[in-house]
Amino acid sequence: MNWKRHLEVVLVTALFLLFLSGVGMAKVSGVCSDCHTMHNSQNGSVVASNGPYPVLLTGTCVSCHRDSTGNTTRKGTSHEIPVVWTATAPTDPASTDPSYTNMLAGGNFYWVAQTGGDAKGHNVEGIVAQDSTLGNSPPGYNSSYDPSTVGFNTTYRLTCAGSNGCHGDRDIDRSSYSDGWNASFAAIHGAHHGDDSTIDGSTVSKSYRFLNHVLGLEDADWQATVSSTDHNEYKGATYASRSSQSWTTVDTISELCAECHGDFHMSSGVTAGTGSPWLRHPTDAVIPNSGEYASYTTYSVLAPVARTTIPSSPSSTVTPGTDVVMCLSCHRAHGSPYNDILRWDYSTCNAGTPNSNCGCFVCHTQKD
Amino acid sequence: MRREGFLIVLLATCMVTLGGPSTAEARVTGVCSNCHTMHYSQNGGVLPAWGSTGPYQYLLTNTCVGCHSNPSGNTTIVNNTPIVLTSTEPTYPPDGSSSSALAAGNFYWVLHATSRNSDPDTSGHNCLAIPGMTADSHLSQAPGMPDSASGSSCARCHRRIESCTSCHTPAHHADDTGGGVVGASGGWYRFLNSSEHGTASTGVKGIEDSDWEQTVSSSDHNEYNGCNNPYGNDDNSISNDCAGCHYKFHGINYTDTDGTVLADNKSPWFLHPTHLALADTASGAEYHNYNNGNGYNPLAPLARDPDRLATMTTSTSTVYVAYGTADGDQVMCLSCHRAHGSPYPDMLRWDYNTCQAGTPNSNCGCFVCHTQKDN
Repeated sequence: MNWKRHLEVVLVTALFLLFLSGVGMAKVSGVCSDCHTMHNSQNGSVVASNGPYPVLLTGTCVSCHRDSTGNTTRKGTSHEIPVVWTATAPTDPASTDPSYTNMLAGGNFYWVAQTGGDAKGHNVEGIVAQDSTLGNSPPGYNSSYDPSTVGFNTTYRLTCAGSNGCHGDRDIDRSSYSDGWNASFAAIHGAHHGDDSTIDGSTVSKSYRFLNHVLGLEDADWQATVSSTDHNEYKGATYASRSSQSWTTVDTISELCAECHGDFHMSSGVTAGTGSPWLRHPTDAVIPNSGEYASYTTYSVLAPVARTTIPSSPSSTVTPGTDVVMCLSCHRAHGSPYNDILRWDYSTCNAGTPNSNCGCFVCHTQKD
Repeated sequence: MRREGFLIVLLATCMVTLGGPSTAEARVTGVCSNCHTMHYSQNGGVLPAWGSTGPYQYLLTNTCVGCHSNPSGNTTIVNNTPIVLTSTEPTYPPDGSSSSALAAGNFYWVLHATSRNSDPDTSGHNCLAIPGMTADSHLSQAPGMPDSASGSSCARCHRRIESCTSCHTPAHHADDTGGGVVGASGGWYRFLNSSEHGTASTGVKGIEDSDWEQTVSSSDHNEYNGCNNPYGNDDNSISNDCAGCHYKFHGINYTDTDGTVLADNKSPWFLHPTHLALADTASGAEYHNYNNGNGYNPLAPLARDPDRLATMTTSTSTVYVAYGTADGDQVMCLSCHRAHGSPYPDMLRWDYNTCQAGTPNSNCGCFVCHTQKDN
């Protein structure tokens, strides 16, 4: 190999490594065959059962974002595919992940998929059966808080994306498609290969974790390795009250949740209230710099905070009086080992008994 | 102080587990979900054990009365929660049973006429937070109300009792462990501090009996804080707390029918004293033979001098009423009354009608102090 060819290889390799390094990007990388099949045929056999799938994919969302045999949470030739549903339980998030099995930030659908696991995650169609208690109705749904032009339709199941989902364009009407996967594909179309070097919420691709319009700082490995200095940064806000949402107002992670759980978000009237004494647990409300809350000054991955201004890199500092409590301070998005999709076991939170595994006490420092 | 047509909405009792030593702890323990719900939503709806009119402030599952009531009987401590409203009549006088009335009495009698009082309004405070309660039919304001409380903004406490916070400032997570006197750091004795006028220093101090005097005896009881100034104003006494609404019945001044303020600091008294140390009375006074020398009597309890209470860590049967005793025990409002409600008119601790001068009666609390009046 001559020196010019050698230089080309070095440059390509460097560019490839740049793709994988630094602040996390959702823009996919890796070999095309990790996700696509041109003819759904290889060596005379079908590549994707029940296929072919739109966009020449090898399967549905959970074909790529799933480990159907084990607990690998980052798969693909370069471990570039985040896995949200594993066949066996992922390992606990930690500062290292040598086996690529640590649970990611959004959690894992493993637990909700187990018998009796309804309370441990979102019952997404194609992953688990409909919630036996809730049906298709999101608790606290308030149509005034749903900026989708079509709104959540309880006739249909919860999907990954679209009007009945969380990711992608929620104006994509689920009822216009034959099944939830097709609706999800349409809602997420263009996101995976989009340039998300800047997260500004202007498109699905440029939104935090493809959550349309939501801002944030994406951890490079989806928090498979996590610590007070290595984590996502979530967008939060503070405001007096809000009784509705629109696409021009949504940019926080809690507002995303509120699109389906609006009554649980900070608002006026008989929902959450607008200040202490709260009627429901506040979200998108500043953590007071007084009393027991003033002691929360180091970022906790157990009970994280949101920022009103996203930092350029993850910060281990929590600033009471500025930083904000959010839905994800207590919950995981996809699923968790605990009921109510909590980040910890609520039944171990005993007033008057210290417990470092109880996230409530991270903020409520005087209750233990 | 009463109403007919008692209606109890399906209310649950908070389940609070008290751990630790026998000295009373108001500080709650146990799982958070015993009392709180983050979103007033579970399984897509409201749990039957919760109140139905939520969401409630502080993310509670119910109102004050919702937790501190027993909708299905007269047990007065349920899951370590003191019950101030039972659906059937509690046992009175207290006998230590599971249905024994607690120290402050019970709102049951304010809602129900009984053989002991046909006019429930006179049996207790008409706290309008109690389901079925209506305003007192006899009173348009607190008897002895201070003139400064005549404004319209004062009405919700001084002309009617709209909520539990008219008297209490809840502090269920305040740390009152460690035994002894409960003060500011513990949320004050029984959370007694004015919710409107209270400051960091004006709450009530005292030693909290571990079972709210469900079991009670000469040596097992609350210890109340007396007054440390002759006017009884703005101190941490139990009587000063009562005086917040019944001001003219406290202190050493009284206002006659002409509106003239007169001194009332010595015998002959115009109004029954509520801050007087029995040891300060003249030598040979009948009060020095309090309870015929048999020690503390829960029927007519005494308050401790603040300097003495500060040295105490638990209740005692000893009384300090001998003439000239420093820091002597004091008569107080609760020497004669129950705070929430009693079976008797005027919220008295005993049946006043049975107090017959010249006729001994161990059930008449008057005679516990006035030891020569039943001879």
